[in-house]
Amino acid sequence: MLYLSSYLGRPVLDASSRPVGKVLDLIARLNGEYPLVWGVRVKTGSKTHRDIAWIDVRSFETSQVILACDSEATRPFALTQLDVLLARNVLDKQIVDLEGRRLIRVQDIQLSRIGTRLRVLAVDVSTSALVRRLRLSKLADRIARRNPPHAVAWSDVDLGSWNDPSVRLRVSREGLERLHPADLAEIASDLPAAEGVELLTVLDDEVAADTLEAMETDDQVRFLQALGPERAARVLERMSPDDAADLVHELDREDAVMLLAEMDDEQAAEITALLPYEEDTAGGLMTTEFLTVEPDLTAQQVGEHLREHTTEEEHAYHLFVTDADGKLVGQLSLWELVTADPDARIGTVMEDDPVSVKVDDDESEVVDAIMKYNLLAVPVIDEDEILVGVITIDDVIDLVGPRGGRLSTRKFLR
Amino acid sequence: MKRTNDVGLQPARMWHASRLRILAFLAVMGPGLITASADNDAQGITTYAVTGARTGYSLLWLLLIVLVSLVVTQEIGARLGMVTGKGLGSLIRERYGVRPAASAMALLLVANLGTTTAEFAGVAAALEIFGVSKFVSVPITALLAFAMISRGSYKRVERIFLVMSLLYVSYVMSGFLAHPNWKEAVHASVTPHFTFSSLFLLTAIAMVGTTVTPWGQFFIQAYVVDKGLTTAHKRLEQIDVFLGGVIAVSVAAFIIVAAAATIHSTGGVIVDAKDAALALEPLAGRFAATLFALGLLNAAFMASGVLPLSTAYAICESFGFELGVDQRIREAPVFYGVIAFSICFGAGIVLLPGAPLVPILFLSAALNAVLLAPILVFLYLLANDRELMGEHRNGRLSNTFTIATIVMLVTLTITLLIVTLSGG
Repeated sequence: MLYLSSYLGRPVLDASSRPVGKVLDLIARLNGEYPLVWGVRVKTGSKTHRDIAWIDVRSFETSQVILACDSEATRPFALTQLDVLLARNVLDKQIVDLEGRRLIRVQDIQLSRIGTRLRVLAVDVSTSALVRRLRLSKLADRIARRNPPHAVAWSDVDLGSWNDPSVRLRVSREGLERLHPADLAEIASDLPAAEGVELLTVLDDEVAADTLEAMETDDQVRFLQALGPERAARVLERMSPDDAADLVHELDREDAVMLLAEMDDEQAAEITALLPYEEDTAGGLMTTEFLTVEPDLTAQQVGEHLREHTTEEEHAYHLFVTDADGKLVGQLSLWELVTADPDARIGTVMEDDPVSVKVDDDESEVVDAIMKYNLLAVPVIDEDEILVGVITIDDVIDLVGPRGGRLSTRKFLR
Repeated sequence: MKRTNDVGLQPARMWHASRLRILAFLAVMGPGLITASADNDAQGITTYAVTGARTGYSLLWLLLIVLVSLVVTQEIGARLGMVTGKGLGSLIRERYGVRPAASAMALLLVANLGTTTAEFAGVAAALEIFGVSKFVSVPITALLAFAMISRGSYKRVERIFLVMSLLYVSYVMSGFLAHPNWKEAVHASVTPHFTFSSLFLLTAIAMVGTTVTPWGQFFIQAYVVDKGLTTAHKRLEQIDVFLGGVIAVSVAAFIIVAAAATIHSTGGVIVDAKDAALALEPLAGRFAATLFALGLLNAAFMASGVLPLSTAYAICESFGFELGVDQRIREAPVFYGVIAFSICFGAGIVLLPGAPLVPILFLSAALNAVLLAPILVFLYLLANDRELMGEHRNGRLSNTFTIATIVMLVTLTITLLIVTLSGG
């Protein structure tokens, strides 16, 4: 295996064996899954360097590098947008491992010789690579024997955080969107602030909204503010109204008003409707996005209606049946709908008198109801028994499970 | 199929919003103040008491210089954190590569092992006042610290520790009640006084080393990053750092004054913690020892957990090992390994039969100062990195004071070596 670190600092000689300098860096062109090395950056003095194109390199060994011509005869080589300096921009940095879904520190970079060309193969993240670079090769061998070297294929890393502070990031959306929003949320929160925001910026609104939903509250506020009002409004629109309302609660009043004004009217109204409820009541937990049907429709009509109006309701395993005034009269699981006689009226197959909670019930009462009756969702009604919202089990799990997911060391030191 | 009704923002929410704004302000304030109060750990209390007992008021002038060094270096640390969003260990690795990072981490590990040992010595000394043998108190504290770290409950308890560090106010009161010679004290604060004796030099080095510390540099930067502070908070954070520095140094000054007026003036020496407690006698009378023991125990116990934790954090961040108290021990072996090693090392040294507690507390502070200079060199280089810091890089004032601090540390260390070797 060839390692980037074993070439750095090696002498560079020209065709007549005159010293040119030392290897400072390798230049890879980000083209395809495993990029080719296009040039060598050679340190020629204490503060000077020059870039030499790969075609002018005759021999590239860990002992020395020999050019194909005299030092003065090399072709000019200028970096392009696609070029990355492997030592400067990647080595020792933190990057995103798309396969392992985490941040990793680049201990070394594995290269492979294919014909006369050199390709970037993988990022080595193993302890043995770290120890080898500390020039403790015996210890490194011993560690490598016990823990086989672990490398992440180049195609599985994201360029995200390799940015030189002077060069803006080039984050690839396709790569990142292979990750689950919950993993993206964790990575974005772990990254330095600016890079985390950059990551969120390249995601499309839908994924960004899911990612934001999966974050802890203080991170949500931080990222939302960093996105800027326009983008923040787009992302808020795509969050589920209950999560969006919780987040709006945490904002300054001016920020909240500005964001709501920037949003699509319908979405803003849904969020605004949820704002008056105290956070720890049924009203604060519920979403206003739910499906209702009327009792005199047939099962077939409802089925057709659902097919035509597919919504984004992720947890809509139940339909709620309301009368003309909007009063809750029954509920129906999708299972019951599917197995019902197509001509049967909903009113005859529905479950009458479903378990419900009042909008001002305490959250502990909501938890009790869901746990006691083993519900996936519980309808929320107001004092007139009008159905105003639905609380789904995913919001309740957050209340009873281990608090707020992971606790980072940084948070811990706070 | 969707139901919406329009309800405006209620007054309750407005209150909520303004409360949040005050919280947001308080949220920025913190890293500087907390790092500063953590500065007055067991090592700090003992070092200042020993300083006052040994040298009277004569080293008070050095505190003004320490204050400038503390504020300047902490401000740079906070600024590095705000601009880059990265810890100091991470930055050294990314800008200077593996080997410089490994050397910096080795320095940090050694300095923090010394300080952790000092904290366990503090626990032992404090509880010896109550007649508890160190062979009982230290192992129990060590186990408790590790259990609290791995269960993630240290954070909650940390607040209690911080509130309890208000016990230091007792030094301020004691400083007044001891009727010190204020004229002499003020005069000594502004008149540099120097003696080329190894005792004097060692005391000076320890005094600097317990206030401006390697771990404090890593700690404040991690704290700022963790809080997600950015350059928008730069001004507030500078105030925070300045206030923290002033408070830390004021407490130090009053401990020195109290010790100088009580112990030094009667020609006493500090051999064990009971002697140091005499500094509180004017305030607490016969309860002085109890009050001193409580303050020392609080400070020591808090730091004996925070130090191993922040060491492990910096090392794992820099080397790219799994870290975090949300990880299982099997998933983050190096992280927990460093914590366990630090605690075992610190507790182990203190448990050696006949281990001198006060000298451990005092000498570990001097060790901190010696190891601080190279860390400050990294700090200086990073803060002047145009590519990294852009418009937020160091100004001339910061640079002058950082270099002056490095020069002071190196000069003091070399002078001490020469004086000690030549038998002064």
